[in-house]
Amino acid sequence: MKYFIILTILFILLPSCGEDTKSKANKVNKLEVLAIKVDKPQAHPGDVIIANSLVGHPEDYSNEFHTIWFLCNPSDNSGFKSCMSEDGIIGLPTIDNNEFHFTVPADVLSQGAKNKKLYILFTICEADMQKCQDTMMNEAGNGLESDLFRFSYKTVEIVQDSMPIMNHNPKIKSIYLNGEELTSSDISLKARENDKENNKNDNIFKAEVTSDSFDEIKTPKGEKDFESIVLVWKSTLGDIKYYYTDQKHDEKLSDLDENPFNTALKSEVDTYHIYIIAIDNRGGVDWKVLNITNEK
Amino acid sequence: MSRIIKFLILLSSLSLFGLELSKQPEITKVGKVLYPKTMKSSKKEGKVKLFINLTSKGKIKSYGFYKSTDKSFESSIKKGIYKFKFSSAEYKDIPISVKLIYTYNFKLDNSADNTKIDKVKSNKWYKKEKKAIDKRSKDEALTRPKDQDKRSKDEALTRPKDEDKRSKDEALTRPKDEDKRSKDISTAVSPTKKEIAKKEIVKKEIVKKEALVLTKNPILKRFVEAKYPEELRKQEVEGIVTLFIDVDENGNVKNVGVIKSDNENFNKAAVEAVKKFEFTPAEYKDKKVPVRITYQYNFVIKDKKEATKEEIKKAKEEKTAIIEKADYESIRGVILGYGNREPLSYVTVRLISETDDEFETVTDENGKFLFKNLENGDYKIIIDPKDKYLGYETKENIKKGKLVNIKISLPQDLLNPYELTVIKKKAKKEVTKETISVEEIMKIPGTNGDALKVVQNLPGVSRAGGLSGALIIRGNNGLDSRVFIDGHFVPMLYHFGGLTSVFNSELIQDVSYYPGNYSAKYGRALGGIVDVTTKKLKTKKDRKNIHGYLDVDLIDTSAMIDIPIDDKSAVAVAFRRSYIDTILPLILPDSMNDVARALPVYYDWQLKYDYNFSKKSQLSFTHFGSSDNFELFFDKPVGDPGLSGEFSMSTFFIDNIIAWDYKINKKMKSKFSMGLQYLSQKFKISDFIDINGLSYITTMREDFIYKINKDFTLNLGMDNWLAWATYEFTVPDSMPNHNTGETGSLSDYGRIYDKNSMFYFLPAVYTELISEFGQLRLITGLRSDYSSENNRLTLDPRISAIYTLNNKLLFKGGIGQFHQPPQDYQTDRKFGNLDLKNQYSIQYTLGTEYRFTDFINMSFELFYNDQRDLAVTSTKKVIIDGEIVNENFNNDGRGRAYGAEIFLRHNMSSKFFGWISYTIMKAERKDHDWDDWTLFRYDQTHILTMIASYKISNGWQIGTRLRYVTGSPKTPIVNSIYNADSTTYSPIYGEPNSVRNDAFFQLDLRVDKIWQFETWMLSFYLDIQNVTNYANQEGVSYNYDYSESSKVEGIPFFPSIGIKGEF
Repeated sequence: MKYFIILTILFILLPSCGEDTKSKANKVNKLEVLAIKVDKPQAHPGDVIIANSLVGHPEDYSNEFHTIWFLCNPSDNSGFKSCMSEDGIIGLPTIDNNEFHFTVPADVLSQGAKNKKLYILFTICEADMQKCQDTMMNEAGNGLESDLFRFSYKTVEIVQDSMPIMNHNPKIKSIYLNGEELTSSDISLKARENDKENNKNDNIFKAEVTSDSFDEIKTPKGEKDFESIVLVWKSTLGDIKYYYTDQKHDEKLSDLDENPFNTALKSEVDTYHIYIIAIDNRGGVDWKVLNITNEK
Repeated sequence: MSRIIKFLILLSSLSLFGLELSKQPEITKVGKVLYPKTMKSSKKEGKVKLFINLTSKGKIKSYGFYKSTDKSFESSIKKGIYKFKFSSAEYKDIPISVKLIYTYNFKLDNSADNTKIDKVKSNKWYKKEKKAIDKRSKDEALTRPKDQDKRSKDEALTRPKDEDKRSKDEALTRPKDEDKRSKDISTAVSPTKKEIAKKEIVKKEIVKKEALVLTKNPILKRFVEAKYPEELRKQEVEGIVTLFIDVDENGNVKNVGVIKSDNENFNKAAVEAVKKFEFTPAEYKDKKVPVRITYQYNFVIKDKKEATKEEIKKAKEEKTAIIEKADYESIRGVILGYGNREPLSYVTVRLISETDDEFETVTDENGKFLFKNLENGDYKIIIDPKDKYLGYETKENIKKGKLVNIKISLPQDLLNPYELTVIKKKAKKEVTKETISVEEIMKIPGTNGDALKVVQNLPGVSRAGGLSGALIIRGNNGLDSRVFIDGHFVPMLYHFGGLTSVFNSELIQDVSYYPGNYSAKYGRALGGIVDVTTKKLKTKKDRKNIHGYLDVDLIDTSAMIDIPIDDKSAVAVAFRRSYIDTILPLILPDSMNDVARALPVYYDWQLKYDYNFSKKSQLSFTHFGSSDNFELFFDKPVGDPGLSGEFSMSTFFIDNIIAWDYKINKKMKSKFSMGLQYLSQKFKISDFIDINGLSYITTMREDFIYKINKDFTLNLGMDNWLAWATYEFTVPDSMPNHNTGETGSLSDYGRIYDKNSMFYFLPAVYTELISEFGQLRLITGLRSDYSSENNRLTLDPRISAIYTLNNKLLFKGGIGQFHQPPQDYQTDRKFGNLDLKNQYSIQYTLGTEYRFTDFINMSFELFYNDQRDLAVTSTKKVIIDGEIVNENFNNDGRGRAYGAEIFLRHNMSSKFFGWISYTIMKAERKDHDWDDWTLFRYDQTHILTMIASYKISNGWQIGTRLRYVTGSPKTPIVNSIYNADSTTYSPIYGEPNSVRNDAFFQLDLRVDKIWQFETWMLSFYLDIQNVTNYANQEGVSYNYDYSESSKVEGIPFFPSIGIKGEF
């Protein structure tokens, strides 16, 4: 265990020491799933649940792709692992729909069980439908090793009817740009002249979730605490500095929450996007998309 | 046996005199040697002492210098040496190779007589050629026609009388040294030489240099006179019988045989007498060893007439009276090494009187020597240069009956540190054991002078990845091998990142490494054992001076002081602290400096106190401790939304060991020791992993040895652990798969928390019988362990055998069972399984050792380690006490590791030392019987280490280490899946451990320079790791969604310098 920890620390530190040329999480540079939201992260058997997805791609993206929704009910207590095979898949897939509706099976909880996790699988296939089907069949029925597929999942916790549901989805209340609260998601920013201005950091973003988004939780030790909300930032062009910022329940926004942003180059496209996704510890999700226009 | 005869035998046994030459070599032409200009202009005279190896044709084969007044004189000799001409030496009238000791004197007035050879000695060619001549003589004698004897007799009868006269004249004109040779025994002891020369029987003993240089030669302590065969006495026949004597480790004569004899009628008497001899045991590195010596028994008739028993008795009494009367000390001395002032043992000291009488003795283990019974006069005290020290000469005036005390500081040949670096003991118990003598291994490249890091270069030791300090032996998990100090468990061997060890090398006597099939004395390890033996401190009896050092390098500083308190006790204190924490901020980017709350820092300390109640009873107390601390703080999440805040690791331990060695009698020995350890460990990664452990461990050992008789030795002992531990942890609810190295994102797991205190008891008893059946040594052992955590009792039988075919070749093999209790967390009451069995391995080893020459030897071993009942994670539900609970862990795991190891070593010759260690192996695991075997993450097919060190001159030495290791297996990531709950990606793995990291290659270089002063030494080293700047892969780094990857590279070109002052 000790060496595992040491290695983990080193692996975190080592990339910090040298220049890492690999693509960063805070840049949308290919077709990818950015978030999945369900209206009820906690539900009772028989409830109807609606799921939505946020898919991002580079501004000049033009390939054909298809989306597929599944519901997975793991057959044992191996968790999400059993969803990697066909064993836990229930129901027919929903294809190319932004929304996924399903009814939680009434018998999902085995006798005596207080709760169970269901998994919503959302997969993007970056090809025409025929190729997607062929690849999935050739890859032992799941296409796990094919780079055509982008897999993602979202957990829904099913609890006994007798237990209360504790959904408390976070809400992104305000977004600030250079200290000013944005009133619209369409904003205009001065385009960058050249790469050398990369570190100029003219634009400072902050995002704030509503104060009632924070739930009281218990730590693993059993102590009382409040959850913190994590904010994920991604941009299709330009450079947003941090992939994550976080907000504590009793803290007001401060310098620590600032996320500097370097705008896109003048030579790049006129319009691009910043995605801000808030998640809490109970599966609650909210997102905002900013549409930015280059001021030339 | 009178003391004088013992002394005489001792002297003769420790010298290599007595070349049986029929013709001495001579200088027939003194070559022209130019006087060095600088010396001439400064009007300096001098001399050069050198050795010359002559071929049987009298040509110079090679030469070398012992010492010289000035190097420029040596240069002149080098230019002129081949202009010298010599007559060849002859043995039995056949030319033979010899080694000459020769001193060339440089006199400004050309008055030097450089025509004389100091001494003629044997060398390896002499020995070989002599053997061949002897064999030829024997063959000729066997095939000689009978009438030839008659012809010889006839020739004698018909020989002219003047030929007899000529023989007499020859005797009168015989060179002086030949006369000296014939009386060499009598001249060994000055005051009574004439009396002894008159004795009827004179004996002479030669201890041949064995393959390994003995640290203590056997000394004849009981001499038995041979009965002179009456027939031969009547015929006035004298003769010499050369015998070999096998002396066992107790000094008893085991076997006697005649090598050659002047008259076979002497043989029986000589053999019978020699069988009753008794010797002091020979020693090699302080261990008694059996040896074979060659002994010449001379049958000489006093005055060529029969002596009566009464006459012999009377002569003996007279001689004894004279000796006893004259027994007084003349010179008492001690020899200390330059710099560290350590006593130098087993140094030969020669004494030459004005009349050229020569005496010789050897310093004892405390560097002391004594000459007795010297007459008035000036005496030269000479120490000839040897491998370990340089030569020395002084003069003392002696007055009969008055004692002169002298102290000699001898410059040591410090750049000869590797002799006998790794010792394979002859009388060993384990099939595989490498014992490393620490003094000799401080300069291996890449180790920064750390003796314990040398373990990483031995066969069977896998390369732990990156900066990990884990000890991976024969493909086992790091936790499956144990490290002990003086037999007591220590939690770790190396500080953070394996940079340096936790125990000061200067306080270590030796490091024993057992890769498998270890003795029943040890247990609780499926893999191998490393046992560090601390140094026995020298009291004032052995050394008067304080010894210490200060060592500063780029990583840390250490210091040590060793103080002899009085004749019975001594104390030593050492300390080391790293300063990576002060250097790193200078090279880290600013962003990292912001997050580093406490950069890596380690320190350790040791205190040792030894008290000798008597020779039989010694007490030692060792206190030591170590601390490693590292702490980072990230304001914003890094790589994972939950990963922010504190990342820290600290390990702190203090250990106290008290040991009592007691020699009950000649046959029984006991060592009782107790240890008390305090251990605190903390690991924290954000809120996902937070472990705090605190434990007090009491260890208690008794190791009792009973030597039943010369063939059987019984070892009995106990090895108990008693521990109280408390721990508190928050960890992911699903542990990573250790076998495949799968980790995944920490955000994917839930967290579990527990706090617990526990008390556990691990008692063990063992017994071991070592039996000798001629050349076969059989070691049978039995060990029983109990572990209270899971209430299990185990019984481990072990057996190994060593068959010594001859002094070059031995075979060895062993089979045994080795149990290991589960790790603490595996038996946690909530998240572990209290019903886990102890894991065990059955280990098989088969091998051979072969000694090619005195310097080169090799061992080869095949091993198979069959591991069963390994604890593996389980997702099953089980019913315990009527309740359905998670099993968490079970014993379904299996493991196996097998392979071969070759260790080829060249011990330190005058210049070179090195070894090649190569292991080929395979290590596999599976979680259930029905699974297929998959490679274990420490499977490294080829592990090659080559070390070489070469002494240049003038205190310079260069060393290199080359390593090649197959890359460790890893599980490939074939795709990833986005976890929308945590906004992280989790990897999708391919076949477990189905690909490997790139092979590891590294070349290290080390240069040392030592300056030696009389009371202290200064050394400097440059240690460069990865000279070729080879980009070694230590792992793989991925981008956020695992779609892109790059190699994580290891240590680049990394020079380190250090300076050490020692007194």
